Amino acid sequence: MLQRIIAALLVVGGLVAIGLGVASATVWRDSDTAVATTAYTGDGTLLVTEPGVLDLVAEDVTIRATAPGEQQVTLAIGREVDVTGWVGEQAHGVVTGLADWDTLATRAVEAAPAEPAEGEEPAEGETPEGEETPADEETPAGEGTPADGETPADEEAPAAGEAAEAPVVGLDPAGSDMWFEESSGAGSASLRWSDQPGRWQLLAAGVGEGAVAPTLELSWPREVETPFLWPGVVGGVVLLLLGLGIGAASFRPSRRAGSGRGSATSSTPVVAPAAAPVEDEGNGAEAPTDTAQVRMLTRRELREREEAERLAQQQARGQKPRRAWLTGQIPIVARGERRPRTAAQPTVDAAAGHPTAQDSASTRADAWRRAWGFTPGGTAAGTTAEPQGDPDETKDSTR
Amino acid sequence: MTRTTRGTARARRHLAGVSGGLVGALLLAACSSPLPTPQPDPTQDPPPPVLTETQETVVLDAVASALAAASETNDPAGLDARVTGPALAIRTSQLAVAAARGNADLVTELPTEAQQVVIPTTQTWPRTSYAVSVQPESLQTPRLSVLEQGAARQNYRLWAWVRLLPGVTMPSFADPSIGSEAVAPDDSSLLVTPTDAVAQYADVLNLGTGSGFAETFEDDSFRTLLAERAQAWTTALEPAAGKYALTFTPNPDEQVRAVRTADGGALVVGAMTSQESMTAEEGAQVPPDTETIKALYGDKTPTNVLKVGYVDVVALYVPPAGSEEKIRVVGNEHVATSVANS
Repeated sequence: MLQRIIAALLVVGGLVAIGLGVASATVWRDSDTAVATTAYTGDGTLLVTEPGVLDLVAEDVTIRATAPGEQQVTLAIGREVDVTGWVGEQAHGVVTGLADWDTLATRAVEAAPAEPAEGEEPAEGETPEGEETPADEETPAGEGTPADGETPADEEAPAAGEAAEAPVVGLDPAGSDMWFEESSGAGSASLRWSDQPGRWQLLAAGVGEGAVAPTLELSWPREVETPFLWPGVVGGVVLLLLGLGIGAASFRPSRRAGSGRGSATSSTPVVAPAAAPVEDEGNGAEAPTDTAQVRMLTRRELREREEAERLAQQQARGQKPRRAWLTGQIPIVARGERRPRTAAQPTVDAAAGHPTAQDSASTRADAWRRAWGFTPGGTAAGTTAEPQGDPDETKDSTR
Repeated sequence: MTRTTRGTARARRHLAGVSGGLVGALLLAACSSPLPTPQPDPTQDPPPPVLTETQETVVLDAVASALAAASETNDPAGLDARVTGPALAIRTSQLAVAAARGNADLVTELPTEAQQVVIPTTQTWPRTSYAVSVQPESLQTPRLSVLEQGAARQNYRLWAWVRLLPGVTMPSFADPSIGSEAVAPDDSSLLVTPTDAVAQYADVLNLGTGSGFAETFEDDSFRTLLAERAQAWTTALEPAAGKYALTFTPNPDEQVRAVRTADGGALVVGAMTSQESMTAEEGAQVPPDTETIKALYGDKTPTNVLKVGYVDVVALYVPPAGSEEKIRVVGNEHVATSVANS
């Protein structure tokens, strides 16, 4: 019974493992594309990706930039020096990598200090507030505390002041001889890029008056691995087969118990002493030590016992099946019964050793010669060849 | 039997539990694969060329189409985006001449197709690239064009061109895929610095064999041409007690452009201006002679003075320091752009 439960558990476990394995490669499979977007709201109309960002996930990347309304957007890819040179000292955002699988991490770069504008400290407060990216907060915070008079304030104030005073005019990088790829559009632009050796940067620019930095979306084809598919399926199949095997085994013994196990169950605790002679009989049926009496008795007794045991077993099974197992003696007897049977089989194998011995190369050759009447040097040679084969056979048989 | 069966059964159960748990754990792990971080290639050293040959072709095409558009209407207004420096001055004048003559014969033909390009490795700005054109349809000598990107937000513009002198051999340059190093105007690794080379050549043009630098330069056909012209004018002005003079001055506004050649020398391109003056005695008339000068002269009444201003570009090959070679004139352009009669 327990075997069946185990079998059932194994079967269920196997099926579950197969199911999980398959599901890991289908339902739970990661998307074939990794798509990440920016959430940059800092100063400037430009976004730049750091070298290595474009081929972050895969060599091929699809770039898409969107801007509110019909604002012109330009995407351009160039070498690091060229993009850096084009951007110059203008305030811009830098895409530094992935914040998580859906978000691109950005960092704001303030415009280089142009003219020191003092007394614009309130404007300073606006700058960090407007920027939501986590990296941004560090810079203003670090500078904000000692800022109260000099350099830090100078650095930030002009940018904030400019942004507040004059409407931002986003310059268009489109059409530069330096770009390797570029694309422009109203509201959105997209571009495809395959990584090449070198340090490449993407420049995404909002163009026109009052432009804002576009929202950048990078999508890479991702090679999704399904490492659990085959382990899951194979492991599941193994469990399943184990379960089925145990299940089958649990059914077979019950059938044997009806016929073959009669002798085995004869050695129930009650009749324990009798079990020993039975065992002896089983082990050495032809042993001369056994008297005729014992045999006579056992045959008769065996039949009676078989019947009795059958009944007893049926009762025992009905009442408390576990105990039969817990006693542990029944199986031992069952094994004792089986052992001689299985032990006898090897002897059959040993006897079967002869055919294999005969199957040696020389004997096969002889048989072939005999069958075809082929004697290379005449009959005399044939007769001499045969005796050669015989010693081989004897040698083999002795082995 | 029982013990072993139970043992194996327990083991199997255990195995099932373990493998089940393992599968679950792995599934969870699969959902949170680690984020990749940017791994950019290292910065290249030496730096790569700033343009690919393909990009250079695009630049040359853009310049050519700007020139073609201007030639169509004889209007130099649109040239500014792609032409600058001496090239813009020369072209503007040539278009004016073409408009006056109703004939574009004297507008220098600049073939788009290049037989050789020299691409710089300059990582800052300005950046200068060079292109040697194929032979033009007029079967004149090929042109050497100098294209310059003044700033990162500008495009490459044609700064100057020269016509290669007949019979010259261009020095060899590094392959465009490697790029050539720009040479500073005061680079001292050369026989003479680029700036000095141009200044010395101007001196040689002005003084001829009397120049102290005459020995530094190989003879060139441009000087022969000028000598012939000077001789003709001197002869023509002689009866009128006239005088012919031609003075070359390096253009102080235009820095010398130079690029390293494969042998460690440099190709130097310098802008100059030259002033030609023909004066005769009072009452004499000095008429314009060439077609260009005539066109620039217009309807003016000839006087006893003719002054012609030229824009000059000269390309020199300057060997490396310590070389036995002399400085070689590779090509030049000498175009009249202004005429005065007083």
